[in-house]
This record gives sequence, C-alpha cells and structure tokens, in this order.
Amino acid sequence: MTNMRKFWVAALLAGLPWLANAEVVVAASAKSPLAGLSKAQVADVFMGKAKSVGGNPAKPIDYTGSPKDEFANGIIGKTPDQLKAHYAKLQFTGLGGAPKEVGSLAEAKKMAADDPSVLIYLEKNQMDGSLKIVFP
Amino acid sequence: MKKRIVTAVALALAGPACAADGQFDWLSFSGFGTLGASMTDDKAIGFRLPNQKNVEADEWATDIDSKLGVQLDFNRGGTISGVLQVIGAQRNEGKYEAEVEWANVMWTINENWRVRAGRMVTPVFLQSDSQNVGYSMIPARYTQEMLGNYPLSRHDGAEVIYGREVGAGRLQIQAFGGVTKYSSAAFDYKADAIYGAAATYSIGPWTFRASGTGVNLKVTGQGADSLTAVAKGLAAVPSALCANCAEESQKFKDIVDGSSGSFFGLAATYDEGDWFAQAEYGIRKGSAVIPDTSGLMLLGAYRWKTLTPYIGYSYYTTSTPEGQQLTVASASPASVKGLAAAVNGIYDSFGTDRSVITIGTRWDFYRNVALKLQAEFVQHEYENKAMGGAWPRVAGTTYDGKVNLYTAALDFVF
Repeated sequence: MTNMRKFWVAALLAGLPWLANAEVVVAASAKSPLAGLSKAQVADVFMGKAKSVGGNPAKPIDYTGSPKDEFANGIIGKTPDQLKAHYAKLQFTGLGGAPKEVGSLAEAKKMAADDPSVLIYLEKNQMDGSLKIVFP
Repeated sequence: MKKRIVTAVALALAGPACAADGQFDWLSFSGFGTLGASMTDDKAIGFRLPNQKNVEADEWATDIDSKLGVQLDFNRGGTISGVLQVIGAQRNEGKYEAEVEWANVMWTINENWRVRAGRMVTPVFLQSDSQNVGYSMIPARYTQEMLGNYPLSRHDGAEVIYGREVGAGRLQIQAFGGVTKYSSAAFDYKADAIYGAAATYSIGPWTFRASGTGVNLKVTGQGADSLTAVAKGLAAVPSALCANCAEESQKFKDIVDGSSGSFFGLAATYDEGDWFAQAEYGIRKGSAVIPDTSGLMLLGAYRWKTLTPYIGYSYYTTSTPEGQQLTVASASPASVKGLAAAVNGIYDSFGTDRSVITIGTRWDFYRNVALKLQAEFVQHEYENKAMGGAWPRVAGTTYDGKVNLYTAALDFVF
C-alpha cells in the first residue's frame, strides 16, 4: 500500500510539470524581425501557403519529438491526419510539403539562431534566451 | 503491378518510413497509392475512368482506382528544385502502364514568384493537379462530373506562379502553357496548345478559385484515318437523303485537322474545425464533334474523431442531342444508313449526362493510411444511348438509367 501511494505521488509529481507547461508557443530568433504573428499567419507559414509574413521571409522548421499533436490541433486548427493530407497534396503537386524536420529541438534552436527567418514551435518551458515568442 | 502496390503498402505501414526524412536534402523519395475495388450493381453498365479500357459491370473491378505513384524530389525547398513523379495505373490499352506525370524544374525567384518548366499536371479544376493522390482528398476519387469536362491530365510546358498577401488573405495566380498527347480507349489525341490561368484566394477557412483553360486538339493515328473516312463518306451523301451530312462532314474533318475547346471553373471550399464543404462548377465549350459540357459538385463532410463521413451531389450535362444527331432518308442505301449509325454511335458515346448522389466515409485508421467506403447513386439521362467514356453500356442489355456504384479504397502515402 505504501509502495502504491509512493507510486501515485511520484506519478503526480512527474506529471505536474508537464501539465503546467504543456502550452505550445511559436518562436523565432531573439534577433528576428518576425514578431506578433496572428494564429492565421502561423498556420499559413506552417501549411506552406505563405513564404513571408509582413514582408519578412518565414521558414517553418520541425524536429523529432516536437509536440506535433498539440501544435496541429491547438494552433493550426487541424488534426494531424488533416495536416498530412494537406502536405500530401502540396508534395505530390511539386509545390512543397511538410516543414523540414531536423533531428532534435537543440538543432532546431541552432537553426533559428543562425537564420532570423526560421520559425519553430515548442513547449513554453523549453524557451531560452536565444529565442523570442512570436505567437501567442 | 499488384506486387508493387503490396510492397508500397508494406512500406507505408512499416513505420515512421521516409516521409519526414530527408526533406530539403538534395534528394528525397516518396510515394502514394490506392488499393481500390469498385462495382456497379447493374449488368447493363460499367464504370471506369475516361482514359481506361477495361470495364466490369456488376462485378468487382480492382483495376479502376488502384494505382501507385513514386516521386523523387531534387533539392526540395531550394532556389532550384526538381520533381519527377511516375504513376502506374490502368490506361487506354487495358494494361497497367507507368507514365511520367510530373517532371519539371522549378525556380523559386523570391517569396512571391516561382517559375517551373517541364511536365506538369494542368490545373484546370480545383483538384485537377492532385486528382491521383487519393490520400489528399476526402472522397474515394475526385468527382468525375468535374473531371469529365477535361479528361486530359498534363502538359509539357511552363508555368509562372505568383503569390502575395492581399488584405487578410492570400492570393495565388498561376499562368501556364504547353502541349501534350492523350489517349482514350477509342482515340489518340494531340494537343498543339494548352494555355490558361487560375487565381486562388484563401482567407481564414475559405478558399475561392477561378480558372480558364484553352486547348487546341486533334485526333491522330488510326482514329484520324477512320474519322477522315467518315468525313469523306458524309460529304458524298446526296443532300436529298441527308439534310445535315455536309455540316457533319465538316465537323469530322475539323476534329482531325484541329479544333479548339475552352474550360472555365469556379470553386469554393470551407474548411474549419470539424466541418468541410466544397462547391465547384465548370463548363466546357467544345467544337467540331466535341460537345459542350457542364459539371457541378457539392460536397459536405464532418470530422468525427478518425471518421469523416461525407455527402455529395453532382451532375454532368452535355450538348448531346436527345434524339439522333444524323437522320437519313429511309430510302437511303445500306451504306449510307451504316455511316449514319457510325456517326450517331460517336455522338451517343458522349451522352453520359447524369446526376449523382454520393455518400461515404473516410477513416484515418492508421498513420499515412485512409480507408474510404463510398456509394454513388447515379441517374443517367439517356438510358437508351450506348454511352461510352466512363460509363460504357454493355451491348445486348436493357438499362433503366439508374445504377449504383460502390467503391472501397485504401489510400496511402509513404
């Protein structure tokens, strides 16, 4: 019983930070001219409809382990399956496809630091000084 | 071919696969396909796509919708990028054949302008250019009542694409030109010129599209020889026996020498949250023996978890006369009557006028795979015509004009 209680307390403690910080944000380099994007602008960039926002080039980057479902459902407003169908249409008509996916968040952050047009999405607690939130 | 499709399905199901890997790298490989079975419920009439030969009536056919496409992307997302897409499907000789559907090089000049040259699918109607990618759409196949207005698929030429923000939305304009060849089971065609433009405006959940396309088309090969023979035969019929044979002769001469056609389309989609709706209307202005046509499609869908049930209404009309195009005096010799029958047979093959109610569901049951079950309730206008194209009648049967078409399709991407 004690063991069981310990397990539940541990599970709760492990789960709390995740629950508290599950908010997904869109970020760019702290030095990027991209700022204050609307939800529709974020969706246009990540769905391959827009190559720029307010005249500034915008390039979406994804990475292995990104919070894909939360981003698709919560920010793009489409289910992951809907997004896949959309990307299939772009890809097989030669007009693009899903955002480039790099191996890790660290790699995506480095790309953002090197290129002010790069947009990434991540959990808010994964933000650091090299990035700024552009949405919400 | 079946083996290749099975291999592709296995690849698609195998795991994370390669869809997400290697993008923006200098070379990436991907593909799509469909394993489909369809059946009409009437021995008197079958269904196929307009460029196919094989057809079944009241039997399951697996070679109508089943296809496999593979694509190589070169430097995708780069300033200069290239795409090569090959699709294997049943074609005009009734066999599975692989054809190059896309093969072009694109120059992304800046975030507004893109230019591509090579082979590309002609963007006549809303989903013309993605019509083969079943996974990208909700129903089992793109409405034939729209595609039937423009059965050709692609052209070799060039396209300019311009996109920019306009107001709170985005405008994209594409203009294109090129040439192509096309074969149906009956005829080989050559298009000396295909040209057109399309404008798409998307704002929030709404997308609006308008397009116009022109084609100069002629029949070539053996078909041209037989049509020329018909033209000569008609010219020789005395006007006392046939009032409009001379006029018809000219039309048969024109379709061999070259005639023009034009196509206009309007479309709107609404895609927000769980709801999807699409409306599209298109018209064709034909010439020579090619009839004028029009098509309408309405589609509504609701997403409920992994299921997307949908309902649609569509129609397709042609200028094919209800009676016979050519009548000859009863005193005419058998040769003239035979000629008239041949001419009327060609016109009757175009008369697939119909209205269709479609119900079905898409089920996204597994990553990169969707299953669709669809029923179409079809009412043909001219049940006594032999028809042709997508809806050939079976000789020696009687038809009441009503047929149901059932389709099961497994669409995948990898």
